[in-house]
Amino acid sequence: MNWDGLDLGILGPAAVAGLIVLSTHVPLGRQVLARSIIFIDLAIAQIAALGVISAGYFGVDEHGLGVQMAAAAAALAGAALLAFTDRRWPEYQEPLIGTLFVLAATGGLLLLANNPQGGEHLKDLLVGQILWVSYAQLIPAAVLATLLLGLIWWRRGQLSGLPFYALFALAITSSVQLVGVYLVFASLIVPALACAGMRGRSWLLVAYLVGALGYALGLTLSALLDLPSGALIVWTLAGTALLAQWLPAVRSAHPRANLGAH
Amino acid sequence: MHPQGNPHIQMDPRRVLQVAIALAARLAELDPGNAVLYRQRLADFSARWSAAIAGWEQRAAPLRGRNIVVHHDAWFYLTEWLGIHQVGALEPRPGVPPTSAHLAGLIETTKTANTLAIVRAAYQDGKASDWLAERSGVPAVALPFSVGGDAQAKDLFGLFDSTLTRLLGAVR
Repeated sequence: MNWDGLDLGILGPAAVAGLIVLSTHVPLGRQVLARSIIFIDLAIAQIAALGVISAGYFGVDEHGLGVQMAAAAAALAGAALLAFTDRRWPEYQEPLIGTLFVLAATGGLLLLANNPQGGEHLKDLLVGQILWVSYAQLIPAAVLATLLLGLIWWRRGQLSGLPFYALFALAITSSVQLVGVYLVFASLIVPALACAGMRGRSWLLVAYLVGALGYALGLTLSALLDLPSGALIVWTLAGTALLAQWLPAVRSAHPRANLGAH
Repeated sequence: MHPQGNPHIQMDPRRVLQVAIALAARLAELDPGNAVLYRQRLADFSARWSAAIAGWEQRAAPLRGRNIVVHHDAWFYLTEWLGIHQVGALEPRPGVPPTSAHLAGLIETTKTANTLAIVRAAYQDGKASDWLAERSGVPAVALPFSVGGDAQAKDLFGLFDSTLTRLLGAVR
């Protein structure tokens, strides 16, 4: 046990970042599960990274607003393409998302082939480190999350086609840079999966609780055990999702496999 | 990370000269017809380089004995040459994110050690060193680390000119 790591100045911004990411990703995760397009977040994150790499290729300054614009523009373009394929070939949507993911990932490698700093760049874009977050960085992320939540609320969670993909693209582009792709994936899928069977309003409450407890537990344990925070939060999110299955309201909501029904 | 030893020798100009001597000897051996040319070029480079080293060491006098915190452990040869002490690293194991306990200790060290600067290579993301700079009040400095690392580091001479200018800029 190491009590020095329990420093609110270090863990505080990380916890707030986690809550901001969860606020949009929990409701979006429900939609992702319902559509069985689990890997869409990896594809969008990779396309946003491709946008940043292309911006660098054409000489845009790598730390300014231009890069954010490039990432968002690329993610929105990818979202428009996915909205189109979803309408045109709905039965092939998941393999098309997978194909887009590998194309964006390898496209980045091809653009970076002559750039000695490329590998480092790509890693920074995708891995992220939740502890480097500062409150100043959280303000634009919080404003964007509020806008996106307002849109979700206004459409009463009934998003489909281009609005869904566009909203998703903006949420992922912002969150990947805060907490990295592993935590984005876990925040999106795990709380939504834990309460997948529940109906009505209560699922949202339980899913938010699972997510918030997962982040709080992960940050605290990572400080006490002296382990990297992001990786441990993924595990505590899964842990709280499993614990939630003890709640009768959660457990009874899951569909039962019809065992021995021959 | 580097089981055969720290390979970042390019940040000690005395070792650059050793490399030049070994390289000229090897080239002369492989291509004896041009051996005289290689030796002339080496003599020319050695003279200019030795003069430059003397100039850099004089300029760097205010850096001697100062403390720095680094992003990765890649600055051993530079700090050894200039008599700078490395008192901490943001990512002691490259590629593994640091823990909050390590960072809490590092903020404390950076504040109390009268640290000159938080040093990273130009190709590294500034997020980590800016994070520590914000919490400790010590400036973050990006050094070119290799030829081409910044606009001034067009060749080996520019690499050290730029490195010293940037480090001296942190001295108040």
